[in-house]
Amino acid sequence: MPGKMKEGFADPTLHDPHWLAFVQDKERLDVTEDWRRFRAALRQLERRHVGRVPTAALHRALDQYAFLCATHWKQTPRVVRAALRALLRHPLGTRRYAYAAAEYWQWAAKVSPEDLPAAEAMVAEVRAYLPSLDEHERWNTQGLLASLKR
Amino acid sequence: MRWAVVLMLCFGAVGCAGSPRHFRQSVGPGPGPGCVGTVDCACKNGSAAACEQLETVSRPRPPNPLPPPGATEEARKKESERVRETCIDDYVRCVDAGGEHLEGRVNGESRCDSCRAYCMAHGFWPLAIYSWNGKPLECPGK
Repeated sequence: MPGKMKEGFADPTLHDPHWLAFVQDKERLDVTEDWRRFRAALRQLERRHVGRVPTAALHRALDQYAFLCATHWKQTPRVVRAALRALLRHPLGTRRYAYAAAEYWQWAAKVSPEDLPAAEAMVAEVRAYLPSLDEHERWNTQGLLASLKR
Repeated sequence: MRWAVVLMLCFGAVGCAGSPRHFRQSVGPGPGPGCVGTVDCACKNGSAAACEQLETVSRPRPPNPLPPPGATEEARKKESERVRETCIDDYVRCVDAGGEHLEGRVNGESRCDSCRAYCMAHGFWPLAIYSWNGKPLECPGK
């Protein structure tokens, strides 16, 4: 298992009404370019659902959401690096780690070239564990890596 | 006197050009004596352009970089079939995980439908797709 990546765990399924309610609530959040307001909204979301859904899955989902929003909204290096650090503290597993690496790389290529070496190191880790994946996941991961372009 | 001049001219012309066959060969479209073709003749007579043309014709052609017709189409069909099958596998996993309970990118479309459309277009099942207003919408999967 690569250095920064810990073995992942599965989220509860969406057949679980509490998890479904959390995911739907998360996706209803007002999107705002104001990062502070967005983080505050995430904290409120966490308070609404903590105790109803597994804590580890809740925190990982929130940190993943924050990271994906940060990269997609082309936030500053400070914001994206902090979001990535928070995400990498969770056990991600190969699929989430590959996606985090790809998103980080895309963002770095467009917004912050000084982050490219770190992003490329993550992508290299993904390439290194590709042979260990089952055929289906390898196919998906190869497709993801092939989609990376500056 | 006039007749004598006409006769002289006539015999003179035949004498210069030789037989009627020789006459055709000299001015007609066929190769001249000692040539394999008109371009060859022209080259032998000192035409650089003709020599260049000869060289181009006799130079071996580089191998065609394109695969034989039909082979690309076959490979493309195979690849798109592979994409379709893998995306359907992931779609089934998405439905199993309850992804049908989540809204898709477009009104009336389920999340699994939207993720499958992305998969078919990009060739892999994503972790998330983005809504029109930039919200990450998770694609349930393995």
